[in-house]
Amino acid sequence: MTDPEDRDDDARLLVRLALGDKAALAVAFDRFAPTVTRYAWAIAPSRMDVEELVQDTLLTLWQKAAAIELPTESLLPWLLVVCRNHARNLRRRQARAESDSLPDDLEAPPAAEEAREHLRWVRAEIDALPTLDRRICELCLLEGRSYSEAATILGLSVGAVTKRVSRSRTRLKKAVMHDEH
Amino acid sequence: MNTEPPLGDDFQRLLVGMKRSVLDRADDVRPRPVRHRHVWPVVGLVALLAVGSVSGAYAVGLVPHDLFLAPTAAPSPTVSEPPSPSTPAAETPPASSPATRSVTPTSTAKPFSIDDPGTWTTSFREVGPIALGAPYVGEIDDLTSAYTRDNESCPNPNVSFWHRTGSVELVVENTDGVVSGVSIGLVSPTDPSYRTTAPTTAEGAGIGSTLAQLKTLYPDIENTGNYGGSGADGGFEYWSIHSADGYITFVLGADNSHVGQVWVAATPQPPSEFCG
Repeated sequence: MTDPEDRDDDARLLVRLALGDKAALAVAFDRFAPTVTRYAWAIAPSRMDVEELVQDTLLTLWQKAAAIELPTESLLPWLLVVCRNHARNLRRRQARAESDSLPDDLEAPPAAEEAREHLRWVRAEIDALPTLDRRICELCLLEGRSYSEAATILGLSVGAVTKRVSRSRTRLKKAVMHDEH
Repeated sequence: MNTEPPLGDDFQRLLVGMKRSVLDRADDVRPRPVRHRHVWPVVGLVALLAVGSVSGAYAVGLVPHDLFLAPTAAPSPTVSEPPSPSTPAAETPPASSPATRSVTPTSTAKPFSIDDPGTWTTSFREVGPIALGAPYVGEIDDLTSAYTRDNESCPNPNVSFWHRTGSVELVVENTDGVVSGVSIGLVSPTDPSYRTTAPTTAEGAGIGSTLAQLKTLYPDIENTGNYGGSGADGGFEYWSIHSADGYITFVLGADNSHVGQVWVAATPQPPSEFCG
């Protein structure tokens, strides 16, 4: 269950990650890895692949935090989409390793029923998200859209970021400036 | 997998192992930015202002890649392109703008070294050797002399991230096989690092420039929105200049004063994120 305080913290956490705060990465792992792991478990062929997907997803968050501009309150939909994308890349690499020719259906998104099955162990977490975040999950993880496409479809622009994000940034900016002086 | 995910202690052990690995790998995949002294190349700026005042009268034009020169080569006075009838020399300033002649970023009017992004020019159509609207695969090939591609961290196949020690990160966006946007700088917006090793406009604007400098260089510059609220409220303000070819947007950092990112594309606002 994602409570409102956690969602408020997501924006603050993202800023800390963008500033290279490694402790924030540990917090992000504790907050999101259980859910990302259960999702990865449904889409990866082996436990070793699950571990690779989860680690790569959290490291992508770490590396790209400065480039992420959340249009909503929660980081979880973004992380699940990144995990799905890593899984696709993993399948491509594995298919290439097994054969020179890729199967025709490799790039095809999973059928709706299969996609729904992929969410079977994270439904509670997605249901607990705010409406817009739930819709992003549906558009991306069930319909196969990219995160940016989903945000566009939902009318979420960069300028539509919540004031909560702004307040978090203001607080953090003050904290950082205080630390530097 | 068809099996149920582990529960209880087994699940916790799985998480602990992954967490240790993530934290171990974090330093390798993203070294903390090195802080440098806050130095603005005043002499260079003055010189570039002079160049910009002249080049502002010229229109944007492509410079072929065979104009790449060695890093030590002096700029050639012969490389300036003649005015193009299709591109206005300057934007019409709004009525409230100062009566200063507008200076718009020209194309790569100065020679540059392909392996030194500090010599690259940002224009509406190019960032150094990368031309907006040109075939993506061919353009990013030109980056390999200066940057190392990060192939693993971002799963979105339509963007590529490029790293260079001592310089800012470059992100090139691909839409339908052509370059549709270039982002310069994703470092901590308050970090003054790298400002002398990143591409700048012909007038010298780029990472680390202040809003006051931008307004001096580009009297027509417009605020085109923000991310996370106004700059005064902790958000990141977008300040853009534009021509018929597109936009150059300067994203102010958390100090609401210095540029932390530059976005070159047909639209003024950078994507909400690159990896999803």
